[in-house]
Amino acid sequence: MSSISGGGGSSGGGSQSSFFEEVRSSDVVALQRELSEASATRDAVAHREAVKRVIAYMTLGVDVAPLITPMIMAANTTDLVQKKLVYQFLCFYSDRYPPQTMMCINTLLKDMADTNPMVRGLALRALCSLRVPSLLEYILPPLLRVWTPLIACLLD
Amino acid sequence: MIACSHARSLARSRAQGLKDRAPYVRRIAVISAAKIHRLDAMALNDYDVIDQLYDMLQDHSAEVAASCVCSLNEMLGAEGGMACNKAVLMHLLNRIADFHEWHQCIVLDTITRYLVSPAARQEISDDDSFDILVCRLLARLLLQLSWHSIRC
Repeated sequence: MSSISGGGGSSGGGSQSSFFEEVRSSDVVALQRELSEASATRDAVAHREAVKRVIAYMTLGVDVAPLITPMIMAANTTDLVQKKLVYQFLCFYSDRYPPQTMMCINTLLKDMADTNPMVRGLALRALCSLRVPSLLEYILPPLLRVWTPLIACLLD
Repeated sequence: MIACSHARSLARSRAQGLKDRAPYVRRIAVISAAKIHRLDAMALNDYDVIDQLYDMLQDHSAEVAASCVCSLNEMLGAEGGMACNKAVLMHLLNRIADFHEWHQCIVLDTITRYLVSPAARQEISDDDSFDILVCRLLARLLLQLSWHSIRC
C-alpha cells in the first residue's frame, strides 16, 4: 500500500517508471480505494493518475478485473485522456467479463451522441472493439434507440 | 444468431459514422468496418458497405481515404484484396504524397498488385502517356521521401 502512495504522489510524467517497480496483487485493493477517493473528491488530476496506474498494472499482467466498476464510473469524465485509457481497459477485459462490461454500454452510447468528434470517435471505436457475443441481446435495443436520432441528425 | 444481430446493429451505426462531419469519426467508422467484418463476415452484406468504402476513397481527408484502402484490403482479403482500376490507380497516385508512410506502403502494395495483373495490361496498354504520368508521380514521392531522410 505504501508503494502505491509513494509511486503516485508525484505528477504523471516523471513517475512512470515507478509504476513498474513494486507490483503486488494486494495493491488492487489500494487502487480501488484510490479510484473511489478521487471520484468522491472530484479531483481530476488524481483520478487520471489512478486510472493510469490501473492501466500500468494491467499491462504487467496483474488481474485488475475487480476494478471494472470504478473504471466504468471513471469513463464519465470530460478528460479525453482518461476516457481513452478507460476504454482501453474495457476492451481488454470485455471478452472475459461480459456482465460487468454490459454496464459500460450506456456510457458508450451516450458518448456516441457527444458534440465533440473525438469523444464520438472514441466511443464508436470502443463499441466496435468489445468482443462480447453473449451480451448482444442486451446491447441491441438501447443501441437502436440511441442511433435513430443520431441518424436523423447526421443526415441533415 | 445473437452475434449476427449485434454485428448488424453495429454495421448500422458504422454506416452513420461514415457520414459524420468530423474526419476522425469517419476514419474510425472506416476502420470499424473491418472490425465488424471480422466479428461477422455476413453482417455488412445488407448495407453495401464495400461500395461506400470505394466511394470514400475520394474523401477530403487523406487519412480517411488511406484507411479505406486498408479496410477494403482486409475485407476483400479472400478475393486477393481491394479491386483496382485505372481511375482508382490515378486517384491514389495523385494523393499518395498526402498519406503517411505506412499508408503509402499499403497503397503502393495495392497499386503493384494491380499493375502486374492481366486486367491492368489490357487497360493501360493503349495509353502511351500513362507510363510517363506514373513515373512523374512516383518521382515526386521519392523526392519527398529523400527530403525527409535529409531532414532526419
